[in-house]
Amino acid sequence: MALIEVRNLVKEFRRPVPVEGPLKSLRRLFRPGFTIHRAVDNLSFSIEKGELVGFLGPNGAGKSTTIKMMTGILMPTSGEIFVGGLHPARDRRRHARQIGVLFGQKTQLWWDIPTIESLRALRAIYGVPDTVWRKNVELFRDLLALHEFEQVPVRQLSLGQRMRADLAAALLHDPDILFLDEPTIGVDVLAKERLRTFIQTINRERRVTVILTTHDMGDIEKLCSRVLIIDHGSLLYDGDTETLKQRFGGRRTLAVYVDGGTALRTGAFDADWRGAFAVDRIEAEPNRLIFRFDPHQTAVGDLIAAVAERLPVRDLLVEDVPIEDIVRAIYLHSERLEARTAPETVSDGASRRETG
Amino acid sequence: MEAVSVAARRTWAAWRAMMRAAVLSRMAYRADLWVGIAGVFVLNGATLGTTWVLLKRFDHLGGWGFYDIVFLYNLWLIGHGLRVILFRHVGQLENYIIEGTFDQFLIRPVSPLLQFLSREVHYLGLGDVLVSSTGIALAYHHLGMHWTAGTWLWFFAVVISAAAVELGMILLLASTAFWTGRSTPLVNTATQFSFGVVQQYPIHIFGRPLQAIVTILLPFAFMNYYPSLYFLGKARGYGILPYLSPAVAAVLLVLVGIVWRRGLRVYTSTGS
Ligand SMILES: Nc1ncnc2c1ncn2[C@@H]1O[C@H](COP(=O)(O)OP(=O)(O)O)[C@@H](O)[C@H]1O
Ligand SMILES: [Mg+2]
Repeated sequence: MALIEVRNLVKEFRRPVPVEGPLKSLRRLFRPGFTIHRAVDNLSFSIEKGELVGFLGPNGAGKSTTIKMMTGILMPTSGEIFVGGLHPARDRRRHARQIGVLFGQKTQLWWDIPTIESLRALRAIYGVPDTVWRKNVELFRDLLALHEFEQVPVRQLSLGQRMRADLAAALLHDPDILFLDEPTIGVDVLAKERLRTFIQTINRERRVTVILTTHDMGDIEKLCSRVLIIDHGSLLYDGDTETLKQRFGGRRTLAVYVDGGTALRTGAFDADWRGAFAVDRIEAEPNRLIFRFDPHQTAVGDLIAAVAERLPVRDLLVEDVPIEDIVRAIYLHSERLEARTAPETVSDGASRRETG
Repeated sequence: MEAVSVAARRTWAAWRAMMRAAVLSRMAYRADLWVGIAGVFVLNGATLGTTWVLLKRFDHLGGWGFYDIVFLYNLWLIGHGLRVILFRHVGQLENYIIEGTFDQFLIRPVSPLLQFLSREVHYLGLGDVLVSSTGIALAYHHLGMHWTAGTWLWFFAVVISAAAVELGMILLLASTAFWTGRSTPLVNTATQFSFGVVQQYPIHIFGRPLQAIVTILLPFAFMNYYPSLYFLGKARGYGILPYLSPAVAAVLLVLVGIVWRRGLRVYTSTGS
């Protein structure tokens, strides 16, 4: 059996129909009117020890819900999860010892006390031996520069520092598996880079299996060799990042702001021109044109120069293709993708199960 | 046997560490300490003042004199104060759930209930305990009481039970948040029967229905009224009621255990 086995996982939430008027909490207790919302829809995958896997998907895709089921916070509506041979919610205590968890949106630490005090409390909660505790805190000082802020109450930390503190807390008891739900959300570029490097180090040197969620394609490109894309609770793609990048990602967008209308200007860029500069799509908005191109084939500078020859450029912006675009592209290609990836994953999972 | 004691020692160490974190958290707001204690003196002074005015008019309240009421009130207050020091936050379970703080209790190898209980401490209760100890001493003196060591032991058992009855009741009511998502209105409504009824009045001055409510449905009367009957020499005719506080506390805490187990199951299936 693989380290993490997820089969036909479903999570449905009941959304209460609002009750108004006096004594509404009492009435809600006795009259639970609700609609059902399927947040996770028949997910199956398996993750081997030592992998660094990314869950990619737009907001509301069901990433956090999946993580919560793998960590034992939520019970599946149906389907199975095994993590290290344990059932996360049923074997809560034993499971808690083998995992570390970080929620980017919400700290796991005591808000009003210094990070180091939180780490002391966690030492007792997990029963971490003193020698291990000291060794790990030293490591975090080295790799996360914990000493820069370990005496500062968590509520006063910057978001980047807070993530580092939470990472330290999640790893304090030497877990086998690390779950990171949006570990880079809202963090500035430099801090993001530092977090990514640390996560990579932990995965490579300590053989910690890492599962992270993000809607930042950058996290996936820098960190994960394997990516699972979910949207509306279903798995759209399970495969290596390289393939995904070649097919859909790896693209940049160049937004060019021009004075006056843009309506007629796309005509200036014919198919030949597009081919020459590896531009596969041009979108026209009222005051800007957006070029999607492959930066491996065309240098950004060349493209900008070529565009500037034909347009009075006022301002410009280069960005990664947002995840929503990738998801849309996958939908457009979904038949082809299913034909290729689905049988692969199934047979893959089956053979793993037999040998494991 | 060995395994049990190892687990117990681990839990004990975890509890101490969590309490330490809670105390340090509270000390981050040191100014609160003095404001809190001063506030309590003012508040309790005001409440007792009203009772005193009332008694001056009627001389007796349902056959109870001023110092009987002082005893009644302060027995409630000492239990309440102890509860507030350690468990003021239990009524706010709803906020823990809404803000997502509750999730962290589910990913650690210690009982979620224990983690929740030891998450906060509060200064306010310190003032309550100080005020009420003084009040009890005053009543003891003026009523010419002479307790044996056994009576003192029983008194402390009653004080702990009073704290536990309040903790148990509030925790039970707050736990409905696992089902409804919102329990604060329920907690606030129910505690009115404690703050507004039981706290400072001998409940026999009220009608039967109200007496039944604070004895059976919301048994706050076991915090002070029933045990006071024994200490004030008024227990005759009340059967075993004056001696039931520890049992009521125990039943409530067992109920809390059961409700939490179910509540956790609901929480992990609804996530809100
Ligand atoms: N506790 C809950 N109760 C009801 N609906 C929920 C709950 N948690 C999440 N959802 C819904 O489930 C869907 C998936 O949410 P989530 O897993 O948080 O997505 P993601 O993390 O990918 O942004 C969303 O539509 C969200 O509104
Ligand atoms: Mg999320």
